[in-house]
Amino acid sequence: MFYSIRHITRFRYAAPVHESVMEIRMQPRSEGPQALRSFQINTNPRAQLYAYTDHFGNAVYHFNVLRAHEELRIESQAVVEITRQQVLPEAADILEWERYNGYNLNHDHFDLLEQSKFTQPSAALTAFIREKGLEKPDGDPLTALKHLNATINEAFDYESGVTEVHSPIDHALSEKRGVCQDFSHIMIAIARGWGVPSRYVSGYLYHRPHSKDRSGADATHAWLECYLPSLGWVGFDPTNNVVTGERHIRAAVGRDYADVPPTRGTYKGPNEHELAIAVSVEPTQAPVRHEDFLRVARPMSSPTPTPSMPERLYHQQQQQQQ
Amino acid sequence: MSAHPIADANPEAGQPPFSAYKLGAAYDEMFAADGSVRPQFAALAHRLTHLPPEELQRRQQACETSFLHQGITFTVYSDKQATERIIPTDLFPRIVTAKEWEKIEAGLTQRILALNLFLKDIYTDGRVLKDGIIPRSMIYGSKHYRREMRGLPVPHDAYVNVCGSDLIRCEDGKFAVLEDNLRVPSGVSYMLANRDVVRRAFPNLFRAQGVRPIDHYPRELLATLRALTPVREDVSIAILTPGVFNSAYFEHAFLARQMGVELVEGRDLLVNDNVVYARTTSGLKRIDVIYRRIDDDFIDPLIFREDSALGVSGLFNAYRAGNVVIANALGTGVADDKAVYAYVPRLIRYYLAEEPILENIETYLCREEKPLAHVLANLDKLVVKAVGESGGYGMLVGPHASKAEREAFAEKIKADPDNYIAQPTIQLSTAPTFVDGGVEPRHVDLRPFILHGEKTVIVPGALTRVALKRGSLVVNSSQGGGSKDTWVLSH
Amino acid sequence: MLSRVADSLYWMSRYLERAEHTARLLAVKLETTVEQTREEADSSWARVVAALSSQNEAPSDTDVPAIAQHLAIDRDSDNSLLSSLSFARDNARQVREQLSVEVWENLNRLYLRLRETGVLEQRNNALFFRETLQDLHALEGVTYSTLSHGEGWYFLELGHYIERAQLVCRLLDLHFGAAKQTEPKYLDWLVLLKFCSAFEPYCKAYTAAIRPDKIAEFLLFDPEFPHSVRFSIDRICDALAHVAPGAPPGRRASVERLAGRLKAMADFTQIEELMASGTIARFLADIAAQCEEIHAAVYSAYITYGAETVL
Repeated sequence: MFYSIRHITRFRYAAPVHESVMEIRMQPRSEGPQALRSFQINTNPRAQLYAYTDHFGNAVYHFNVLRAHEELRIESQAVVEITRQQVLPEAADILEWERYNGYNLNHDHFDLLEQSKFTQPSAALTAFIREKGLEKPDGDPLTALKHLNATINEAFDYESGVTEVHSPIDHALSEKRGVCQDFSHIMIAIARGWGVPSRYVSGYLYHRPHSKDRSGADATHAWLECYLPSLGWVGFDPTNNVVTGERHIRAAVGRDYADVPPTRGTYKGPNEHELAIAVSVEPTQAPVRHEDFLRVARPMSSPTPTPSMPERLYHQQQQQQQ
Repeated sequence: MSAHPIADANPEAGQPPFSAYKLGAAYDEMFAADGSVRPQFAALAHRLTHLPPEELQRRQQACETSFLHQGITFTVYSDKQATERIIPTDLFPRIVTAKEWEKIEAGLTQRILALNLFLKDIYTDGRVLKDGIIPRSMIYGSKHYRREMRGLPVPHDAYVNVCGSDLIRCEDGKFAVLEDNLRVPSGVSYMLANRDVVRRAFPNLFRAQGVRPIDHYPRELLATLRALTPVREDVSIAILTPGVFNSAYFEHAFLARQMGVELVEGRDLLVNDNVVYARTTSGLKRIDVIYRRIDDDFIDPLIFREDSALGVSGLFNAYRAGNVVIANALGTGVADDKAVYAYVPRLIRYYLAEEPILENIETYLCREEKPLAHVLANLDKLVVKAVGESGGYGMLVGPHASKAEREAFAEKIKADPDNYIAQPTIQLSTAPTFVDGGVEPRHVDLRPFILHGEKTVIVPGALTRVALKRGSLVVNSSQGGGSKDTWVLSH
Repeated sequence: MLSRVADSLYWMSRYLERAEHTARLLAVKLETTVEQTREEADSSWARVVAALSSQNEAPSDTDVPAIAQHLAIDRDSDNSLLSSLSFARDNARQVREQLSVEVWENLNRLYLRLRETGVLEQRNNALFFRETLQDLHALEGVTYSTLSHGEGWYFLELGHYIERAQLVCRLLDLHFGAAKQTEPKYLDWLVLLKFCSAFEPYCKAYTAAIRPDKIAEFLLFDPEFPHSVRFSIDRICDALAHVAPGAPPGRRASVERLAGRLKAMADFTQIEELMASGTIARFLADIAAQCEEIHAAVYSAYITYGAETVL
């Protein structure tokens, strides 16, 4: 199965800004059943692109634009082939829990057991866990995680605009609503609490015509992966209550959203900006030709603005000493 | 605390300025327990007893004026009115013998080697974790662990280029390491400035004693920084300061002047195509090495805290690309964590297959069950410290705390045991200090500065911090401490 | 030199010159009020207010102590003496390590003294401003003699004289040019000279005969008197020749061309032409505008240039 993915991000600033610096994590990963066949990024204004692989193995592109500009547009285009899918057993065996030990886990697994920025335990999370009887996993890890996936899916309404990109999980927990990012963070926090190494995945989802997916077709998607010693990484999509399959295209993995935002940047100039994002995922047989491709969305990330913050500068200057 | 006047055994018996000097339980730098003057202090004691008190006071005053004039001040901005203050300097030097120094030097060299190997290990293979020498969660759970540094090569494998280790002298007279400062240690400018004024106050004494020079520190620091970059000609080095509101700002300015390098703030720098430049009136000037005096978190808003107004966007990517060197490397704080501290002797054995030359202070890790119980049961005898803090913050000094304070702190420990360690209260050694025209014992510690890059250099000197309040054990300048010149003798 | 450092030094100096100007005008005005009729005093106060305030925040008061209070230590007014000193000090603090201890201490002490002054004592107002003026002169001397005369010092010079040229032009405009509201009387001319510390130097050059055209000539074109516009322009040109020594020639030329044009204007214009043709108003406006242009050119060439333009 081949997919063609097109992802456009456009920042419009209230007044000309300069010295934009941007990092991009949009390149689909090439591993397991997923193979990257082509990838390109264009920016406007044009800029020299640099790349590196971060410590999670994600391809990161970065660039800077010195001269004044009122708009910054990033367009990426990828072709991905998804070959075979791992066939998962109905359940893992109950002894799987014993296998979470130093022989089967490496550093990265252990790192993914620690709390991270968006997966901090909290009173609201504890209450949720108690309410749903999730203190201890029920049955073998795979069964327990599937149950967790379904529980979260059922407990929350999908609604964009309630939470923001930097919202802690408490926000969604108290509202009982949220988006893919919130659900994934909540599930990660609980799974890690069970001792299951879990990571956040940012990527794209192919929505079949008439699909019942709750997530929007025109945005990036997020889910998580949990490590099972005898099965490897298994993807769970609590937004759509599925184990991930050939429709999930993985772009970047990390401890949580903070490690993998599609764009992260700073610039010098006034704070106000407007962000528009468009995403399309199509089987390549159907070439992408959208007339009205862009739409204005809520800001997804907030580039750090203007140097003119005397109070903050003052406090931060005082703090640095050993 | 048993205290007795030293007059009987002292050859300068009853003579001012030592008439009020009372020895306590702590080791005293100048007087042996029987009240006799230790040999290294003999000449100094003789000289000082022959100086009239007014003369001492005059010299002390001259020294303070000199500090003010050199701008060796820190600025208190409390009420929006900037007042320039000096960190009080005591003119009475602290003396370290050649033999003592030899051990300190060897011990610190051993320690910095082990700590750098440790940093390299946890940012690459993680052998030490696989071998179970140190718990994984202690590293991965540390707020100073920088995953971005994984697999990134650093010049000469030297992560820590400038280290300031705090040593104390225990009651038995042995030096032990209290903590390592591996991120942005400060105080070296006081070491240099103290020397400057003391040399002027007692020029003759100085020569006769055979005090080893320290004035080459800025040169050695410059050489250390220079050797970190492959650039050989016109190496451009800058000190990155948080700015004028930082209490160590004068030190940043002082070192920049002494080394003849640029003093920059984050807003002076920009990154283009992975190269770092400073914005000058004559155009953009490329920067090869940054001696940074701001914390990791703030150094690059693109990668770390995005609300940082002090950093430079894109700096880390320039660093990753090898176009600029940052000293100290990022992520060194994971190794000066107070919990990791407890493991340093084991790290020395693990990496160097040697016994530690300098001792550690006995440390109870609250993350472990038994030590935690011990700590909670003995709070009145222990000093408890938060793991990631420095500068005397987040700390409980058990014997000096009220019952209510101890109980409140116990709750904090129970809520987050991983975050605390405890140590027995240690009687820091005392050293003679001028107080109101006389000389009295005050508690001191010792912070030597270690430079590490292509090679390891320790300038024979240190910052001796002194708790100026009688009986106080807190020497931090942020908590009312002062400092002294430290003489390392050549024989 | 770092652009940020140059910027702070430049503004520190501009604000100090502004503070000095304010202190001098107030001292002179308060000393001479006693010799004027009520009506004369009012119109001459109006001139002082106009010289020291931006148009939109001139005090509506006609009460002399209130005006003096406002112009001197009103914190809410950006143009008050206290505000100027406060801005100067803020800038100095940003580049504390570039200044000598003496400069910092003098400035800091002066600022703190003024800040602690609550309500001006009516009786000794003039004395208060005289003392402040003396302190500012002392600071200028300390700056001259304790700082290296390198690039930083020339940025101080540049700020100092760009500000001075503009302030003197503004004063002249109130007496000769577009901003003139009432015809100045004998005493007003005397006061004008004193506003510029020029009374005795003028008498030396032209005798004590007070002639408006000679006053204009002296304050505009005298090559040796430090408060004349021409003198200021010479200092500006000199400073520009010394700043940003490593900047590419094209960048320097963009600034020096403007300075050269201004200097030619000051060197070759005759007072007779200005007086006869009545073009002095335009001339003054032109000088002030060119100072602004130089300021802008300095900033775009050395301080706030787009980084992409120099790579």
